Amino acid sequence: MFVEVKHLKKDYGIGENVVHVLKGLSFQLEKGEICTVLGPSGAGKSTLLNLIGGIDTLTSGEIRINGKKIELDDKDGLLEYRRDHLGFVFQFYNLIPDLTVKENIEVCGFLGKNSLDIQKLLKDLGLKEHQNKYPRQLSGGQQQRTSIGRALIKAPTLLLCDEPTGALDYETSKEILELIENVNREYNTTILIVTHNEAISRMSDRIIHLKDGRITKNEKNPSKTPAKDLAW
Amino acid sequence: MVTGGRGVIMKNVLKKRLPRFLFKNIAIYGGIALFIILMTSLAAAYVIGNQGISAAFEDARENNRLEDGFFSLAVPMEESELSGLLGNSLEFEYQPYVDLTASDESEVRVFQMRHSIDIPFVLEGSLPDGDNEIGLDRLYAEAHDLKLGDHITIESKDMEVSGIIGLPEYIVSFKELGDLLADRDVFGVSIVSDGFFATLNEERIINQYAYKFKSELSKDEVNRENRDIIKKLGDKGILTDFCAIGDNNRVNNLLSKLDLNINMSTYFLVLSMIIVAFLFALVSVHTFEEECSFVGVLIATGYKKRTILRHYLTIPVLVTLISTGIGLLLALTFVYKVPTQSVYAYYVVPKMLYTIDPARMAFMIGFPILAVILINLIVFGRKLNLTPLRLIRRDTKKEKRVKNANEMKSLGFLNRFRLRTVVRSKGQYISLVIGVFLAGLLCMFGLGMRSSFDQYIDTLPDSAVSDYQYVLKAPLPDASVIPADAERDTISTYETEFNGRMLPVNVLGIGSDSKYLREFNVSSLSDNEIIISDIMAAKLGIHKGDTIELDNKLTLHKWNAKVAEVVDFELGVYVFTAQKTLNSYLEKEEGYYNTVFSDGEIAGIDERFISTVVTKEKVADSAKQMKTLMASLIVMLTAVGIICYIIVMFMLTKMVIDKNALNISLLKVFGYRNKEVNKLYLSQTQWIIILSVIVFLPLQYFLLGKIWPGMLNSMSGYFYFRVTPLVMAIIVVLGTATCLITNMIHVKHVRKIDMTEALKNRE
Repeated sequence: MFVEVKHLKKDYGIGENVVHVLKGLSFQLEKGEICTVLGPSGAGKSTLLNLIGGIDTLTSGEIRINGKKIELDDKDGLLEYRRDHLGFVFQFYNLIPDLTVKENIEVCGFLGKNSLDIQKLLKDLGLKEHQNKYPRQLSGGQQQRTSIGRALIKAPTLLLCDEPTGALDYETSKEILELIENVNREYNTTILIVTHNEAISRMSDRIIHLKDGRITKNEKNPSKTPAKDLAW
Repeated sequence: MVTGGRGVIMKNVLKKRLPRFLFKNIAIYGGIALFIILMTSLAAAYVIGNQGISAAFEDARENNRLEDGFFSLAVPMEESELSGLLGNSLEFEYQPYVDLTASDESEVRVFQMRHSIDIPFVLEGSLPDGDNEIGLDRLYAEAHDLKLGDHITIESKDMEVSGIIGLPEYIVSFKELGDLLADRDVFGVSIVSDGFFATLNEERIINQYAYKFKSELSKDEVNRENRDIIKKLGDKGILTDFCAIGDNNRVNNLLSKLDLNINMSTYFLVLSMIIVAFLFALVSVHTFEEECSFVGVLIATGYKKRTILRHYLTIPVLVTLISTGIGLLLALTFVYKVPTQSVYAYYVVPKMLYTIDPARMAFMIGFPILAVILINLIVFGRKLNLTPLRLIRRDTKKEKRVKNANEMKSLGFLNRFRLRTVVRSKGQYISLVIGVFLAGLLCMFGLGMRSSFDQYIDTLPDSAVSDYQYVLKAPLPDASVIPADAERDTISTYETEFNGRMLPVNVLGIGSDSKYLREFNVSSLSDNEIIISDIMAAKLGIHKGDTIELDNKLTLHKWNAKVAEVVDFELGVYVFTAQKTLNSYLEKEEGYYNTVFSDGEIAGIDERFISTVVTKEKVADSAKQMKTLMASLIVMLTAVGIICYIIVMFMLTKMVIDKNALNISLLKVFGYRNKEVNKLYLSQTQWIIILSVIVFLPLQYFLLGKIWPGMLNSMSGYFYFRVTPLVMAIIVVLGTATCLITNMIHVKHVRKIDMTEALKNRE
């Protein structure tokens, strides 16, 4: 198994104010799988993603990537893990405003040991003619493409997408989903998408339903729908 | 009603935000508040303290009827006789004194009680009344540990200290008028009753008279009157000493020091206020950048621009008002003692009078408030005209096409990233650089003042013409006591107008066979040409070829002299001419001289002919004394300069790092190592700061050198603004250390930023 999550718990606050956000999650992902985590707001989707992404600490449980346990107490180890294996795509892009499209992508390209060719990537992402623009000069879709480019440039083994289409219109959302699908196909990247949009789950290999910090359903998708055919 | 209600709720909600906003930015506003409190309290304390003493002195001048001058006669004259001789425009008081030796070998000048001129001011106790009572000069009493009711034995007479007093014409008790240093361990002044004075040894009594003009006279009239007094009494052959109040160092010494202190603190205050204004400009830009989206949302929601402006003005205005208030309160209640104590330590003056100079106070309170309002109005006012959408998107700057990234490819990603960050944030970096410049200026001002004094003290004795200089009241009747290798020259005090007042200028007539001043080629000068000291040129801002007007108060000689040469001469404001020329201007015969330069002490000169003896030690002591007097100001300027430097550097670095905090945190999410983050975001800031600190040193030095003469305006002498390499090194080390420490603190803070929060906060 490429990703193994066992009895994952996450609490926030202390004493009487403690909130149990994740209440013991366990699931597994195979290499090259697209997995969608579905759930309403407050279900714990982003928290799960942050834990797998190594940017938050867990209360108990275990996460293994490619058989290796993620030691959440080892800050340096976590940093190397994020550096070598992960790519992030966020709902609100999180681009660096002072850098151009190309430079925003290069920010992560600098980190990769076998970074992809940036010109090819820019072309694949449809950003070639926008490469010297600043984020604020771009549409939401173009910004999200840049964000995906930034995540992909270092050829991550695991791509984490937090509501990647949450801030986009219907058409642009579909374009972005197609792009994610292409990435999965071309680079065999394992992709974990958290979203509350059920339609997106139809393009994934695995669907995990999350509610109130618990997995209510974990199923293989027997009939994947290509992203271009999705509708909602 | 509904609209009104909604408006009120909106405003209340905004008000609720204010304390939180303040708390969030506590480091920045705390820094500014501390800066204002420090600056205001110290600068105001110096102004209040020095002006308070100045006012007390002026009050004493009026109420204690300070003399317009004094003269001494070989034999006493009746008042009627004097009036007959000198005319009715003057009033006189006979103020005889005798110098007696106390049991501890110190000398006490005992004056007879005065009643109409130079009335003593009582600081403790009362004026002497009985035969065995004495009123002692405060500093002499302190130096000899004498208190009210104590007894002092003077030449076998046991006397009780009835009062601790001050004499208005002996604010600083120089034994001789030409003395440069007052040492209370060995000399002091006192006053006794008329009855007791009558019992003293008549032979040693000096017949001194104080005089006052009965009406207000112009400067020229005063000079004419003084000249008349000298002439009439001189013609009678009984005049042994004369001094107009304008030339009396026992009084003027204080006034020029007070003015110097006030001047220095005013310059300091102005510089500080410029920095305060600059800090506010930075803070408002910083606030706007942080709050841009929120402001856009407020406008989009229907908030009026006026309401938003008021909201963002509230905290800066309150912080400024409160800290200025605290600063002034501290100055008025406590800090004013710092400057006054240093004056009290050397001068006997009446207790200070609180005087509030309305113009300065208005400046101190008004300037920061006005600056904060204006700067915020400019920063926010301009930006509020943008559309809400642009504000929400933070699209507030005019976009310029980026230089093609390929052109910079050879630089490598890290360097390109760094360069881009600097170029993109150039406004911020320019502010940073200006801030470093201003803070460094303040720091150099403080440290440089100290090193300038130190250098002045070190070099002054070496610049003395000879080991001994005797200034004589008249040529010696028996010149044979003067060794052959000693040099006889003529010296006279002229005045020249400088910044609206008359500046004393020493004119030295050098003999044709000069030994000590041979290199000043005065023999080649025509009658209207002079050589001046470089100190004079620097103080007055005059150059070779300029013409200056010199006035002699006593001879009333007016001299339009052309500067033929400027020579190195650090001793003071000096004009050099041929002795023959000066003698003719002073209406003296050709062989006249009144100063003797000598390598050794000259024994056998009749003391009555000596006006003063200047030795290298005395010169050095006087410079040291001056430094002591200004010590508290120097320490204050140095300390505050350094503290402000640190505060400004801290705030500047913090603002740069704050701006990039979220980017830094994002880079960490991607897997950047701390070292790499430092390289990308922090190292260039550090280097820019450190480079600016170093690069600006010459410019700061140059600028301070330019404003320095203005600061020493009130001083009759002058010395150069000198910054030693050590001072430069201190500034660099301080700047670098502050920058590095601040960076470390901020980096630690940035590391603590929760990465998930960083993600949530970004839009």
